[in-house]
Amino acid sequence: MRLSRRTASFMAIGTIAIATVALSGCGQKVGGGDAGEKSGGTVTYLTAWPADTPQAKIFAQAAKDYTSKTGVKVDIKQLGNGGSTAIINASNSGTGPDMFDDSPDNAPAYRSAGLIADLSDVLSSKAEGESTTIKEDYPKSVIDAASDKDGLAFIPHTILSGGVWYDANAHPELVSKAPASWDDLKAEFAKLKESGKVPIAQEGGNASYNVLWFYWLMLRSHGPGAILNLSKSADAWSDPAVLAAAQEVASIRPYFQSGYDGSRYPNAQNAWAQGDYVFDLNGSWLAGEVKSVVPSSAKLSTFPFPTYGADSKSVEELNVLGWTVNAKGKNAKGAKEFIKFLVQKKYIEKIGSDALNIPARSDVKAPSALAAMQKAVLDSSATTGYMDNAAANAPTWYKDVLLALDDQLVFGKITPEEFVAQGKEKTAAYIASGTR
Amino acid sequence: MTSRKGGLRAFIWPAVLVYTLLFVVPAIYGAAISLFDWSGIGTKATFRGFGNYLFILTDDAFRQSFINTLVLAVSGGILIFLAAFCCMAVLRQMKGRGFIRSVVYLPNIISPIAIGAALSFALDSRGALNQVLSWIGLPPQSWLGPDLVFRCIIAGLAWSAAGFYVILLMSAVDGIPEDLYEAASLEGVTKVQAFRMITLPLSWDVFATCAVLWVIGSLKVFEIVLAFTGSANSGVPLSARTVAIQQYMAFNDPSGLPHLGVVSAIGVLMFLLSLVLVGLTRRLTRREALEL
Amino acid sequence: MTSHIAHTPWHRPPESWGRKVSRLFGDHIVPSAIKAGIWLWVAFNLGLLAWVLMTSLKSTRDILLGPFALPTHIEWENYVTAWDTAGFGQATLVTLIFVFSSLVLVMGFSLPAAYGLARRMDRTASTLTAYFAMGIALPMQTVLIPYFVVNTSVGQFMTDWVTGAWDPRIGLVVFYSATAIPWTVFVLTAYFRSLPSSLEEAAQLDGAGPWLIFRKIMLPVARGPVTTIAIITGLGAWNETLLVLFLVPDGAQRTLPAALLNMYYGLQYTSNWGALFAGVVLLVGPIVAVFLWLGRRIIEGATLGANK
Repeated sequence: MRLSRRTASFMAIGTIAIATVALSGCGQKVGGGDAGEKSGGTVTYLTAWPADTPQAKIFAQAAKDYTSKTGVKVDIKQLGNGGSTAIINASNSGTGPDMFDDSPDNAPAYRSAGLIADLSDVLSSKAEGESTTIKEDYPKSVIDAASDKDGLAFIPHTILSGGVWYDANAHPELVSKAPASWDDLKAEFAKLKESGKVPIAQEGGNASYNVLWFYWLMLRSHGPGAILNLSKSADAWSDPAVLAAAQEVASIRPYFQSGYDGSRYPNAQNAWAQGDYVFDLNGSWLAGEVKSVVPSSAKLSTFPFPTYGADSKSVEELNVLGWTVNAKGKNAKGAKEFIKFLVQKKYIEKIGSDALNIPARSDVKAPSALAAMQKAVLDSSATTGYMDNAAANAPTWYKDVLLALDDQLVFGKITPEEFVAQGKEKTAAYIASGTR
Repeated sequence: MTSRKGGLRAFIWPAVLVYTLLFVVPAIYGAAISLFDWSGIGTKATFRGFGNYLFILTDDAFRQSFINTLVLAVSGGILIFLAAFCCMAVLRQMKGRGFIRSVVYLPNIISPIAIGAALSFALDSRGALNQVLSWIGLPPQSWLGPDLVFRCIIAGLAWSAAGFYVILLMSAVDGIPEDLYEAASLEGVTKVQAFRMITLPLSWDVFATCAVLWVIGSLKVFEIVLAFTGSANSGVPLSARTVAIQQYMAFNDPSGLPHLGVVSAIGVLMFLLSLVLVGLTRRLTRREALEL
Repeated sequence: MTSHIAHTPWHRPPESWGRKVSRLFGDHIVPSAIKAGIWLWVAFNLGLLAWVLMTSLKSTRDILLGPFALPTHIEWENYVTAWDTAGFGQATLVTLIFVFSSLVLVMGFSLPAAYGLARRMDRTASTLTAYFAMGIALPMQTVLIPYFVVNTSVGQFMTDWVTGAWDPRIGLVVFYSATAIPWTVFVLTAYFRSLPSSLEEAAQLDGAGPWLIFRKIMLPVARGPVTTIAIITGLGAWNETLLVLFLVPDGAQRTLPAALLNMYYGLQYTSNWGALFAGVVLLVGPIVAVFLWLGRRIIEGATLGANK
């Protein structure tokens, strides 16, 4: 009798539990494909921007304005540190967003998962309340940078590039006479070191910054494709330019700040912004990142990476950040409408004024620190994508071979000759293994 | 009698059922996945046999992570039990030992993420530790650089884990009658010798259990490494990767297509490794049980 | 024997010089050094806590002035940022629900099972106990992918066919509880075994069934250690990060440790170390509070496992 009472109570609990779940279901709509057709639908936007960044605030404001104008709710969710894998996994299991933001170096992964919708209709539409089509609002090179062989992958909002940063107020002589050649720059390093200053802020804890010296030297040596070729053939490493670039990298190590290899990111750039170091080879986003720590007496400015060698190639890096629509999302149509609202001049302008980055539209000016970079990038005859498209096309090689070896070179753990030899060996192994 | 057993059976089987269905069966399923190359729901799964295992055992990054994990298990264990033995030798007579035990145990229940974040901030080249060193007159070091970062992680891990083993062992020490020590000191035995001859042998059983618990735990070290070294751009440097970290990185593959078979294979290997190490530890710490 | 020695200390032979040195070492130098070391350890632990608290109250500029510089003013904004923008408020709620639900499930299954195993003295019981013990050695890493696959499949199924919405955290609670059961059963079995069976014999003679005995006699007797085991399980759930990272893709739905990790990775954009440390305090504070209140209990419970 007691046994059955216990069993009975288990059964009762079980029934109540199931009933609760079922009843809660009754009260909610079962998600259907027509969610976007109803008036006042929802658009889920998965953003990589942490909530307290200027970009997140700009987009959140735009979302609020959009909701009050159209009644469509925009549900902004944070991606956290999941990266493209999280988006792909979520989409494959049916819980993916309607739109998300990223850059073209992750486009191949999204394409192979079928997550990028056709954006040509967005391009040929007009932004909310404007008279030109969206395609006309952007420079052609920017649209190209945001596209791959299957068409436009992202509607851009920011242009990303790189150069050498310094404080114009602390070093006014560099404003008019920036070092034009690599040798000039090295001479400047030596001069600064002699006068007791620390020439270079090196973010030892960030491998993608450590590689920038080698990267730019190779771009100047061989133009677009210089790095990508290193991933495609082991023999490319035998090119004397590779060894020369590695030797140059090793030669500037004395100019890094002491303890650079133990510096946790982003401490070095913060210290640089406060005036402890002179130069920082970094991306166009640097001013935006150090905004909260830079003193009002500083005026951050940039000059492009100097020429290198007799036959220096004038190539600039043109990468973009933008939004794309999830082809597997429930409300792709709604997402496209929201993007048309987002690309209005008044929001893209804030990318420049609030976020201190280079806005992607042609009719919006970059902040003064980046004006020179914007001009250089848009005027340049040759451009290449992020990390010379190596991060997009050979991501495993980029992370496990290039970044790993370059870190060792920058920390002085291997010589330039070893760098070249191991690069050759590991690239051959990578190509043989067939991973992407 | 029979009805009592029958009654107790009903007590036991729900837990056994849940444990089996939701833990053991998934583990077997995980072992099955490890034989395939699969990228997730909606993608095709191709059979690879032991290919994933071969890949893991020959890949440099994985090999490094295995070595790192073993180094962590051994050196971390040495640090922890050295500290624990020291406590066992003297803590019993110290004033405020309850307070000491509490404070020493506290880091063990604090999230490793918080510990990693706080410690890595303090160990930055311009951080608190180098500042303290400069006050004493010692040269600053690159604690987070590739040479030292893993040692710092081991030290941080040992510091946070030691408290647990201290209190376990101290509870064993508390069970040793006081007059043994009195007799010993009257014979002229020093405190250190007393530890070696009395304390350690009588608490050896507990020590053996602690060793096993530590070995099992050290294989799973994950969060503290992430918080110490990880950053969105570069992942975890090779010198600091443990097996669990390597698995996580295989899951967040840079190409965007995770290799779930490889991830599962690492999980299976971790289980096998823990069984092997537990067996090894028990053999190394085996002794005749000392009765009092 | 003791008395014999106590009566004749003055008949001890004079000490050799080597003996004296070893006594100096063994009785004074080494123990004192160890004691000093232990106090240093204690001071370091307390100092680190205080330092974290202090840093959490400094503004970014103050922090960049130097790690030991005292704050110029108390920056409560750090806590507001952590609570609101970084979502720690939301995460605290999520964590509390997660901890509570896991506790209910784990204790609900483990307590009866441990009692049953403790009182059944036959081979089945010892086999089952060993079966549970194996679960302690089974790492979470082995079941991550299966959990991930099942959780997303179930989520998809429920969303499409049953309720229209599903929370991956339900799977999180269920799976986490399953992994916590082995250790809890193991420790509680050992504890129940240590209780004398005379407690129940009287009730058995009266004809009471096992469930009644369990509820009315064993549970009240075991209340102390059971509470402690529950607290330890709860602490484990509070700090669980790995499973959350794999099963809950949406950052806004995660528990506190994952929220801290997120904030940590986002540091590059904002350099807001002060808010990060405020986040650390929010994550660690409740634990420290629980510990101050129930510290002795927790320590007792932690030792239950080893002293079997």
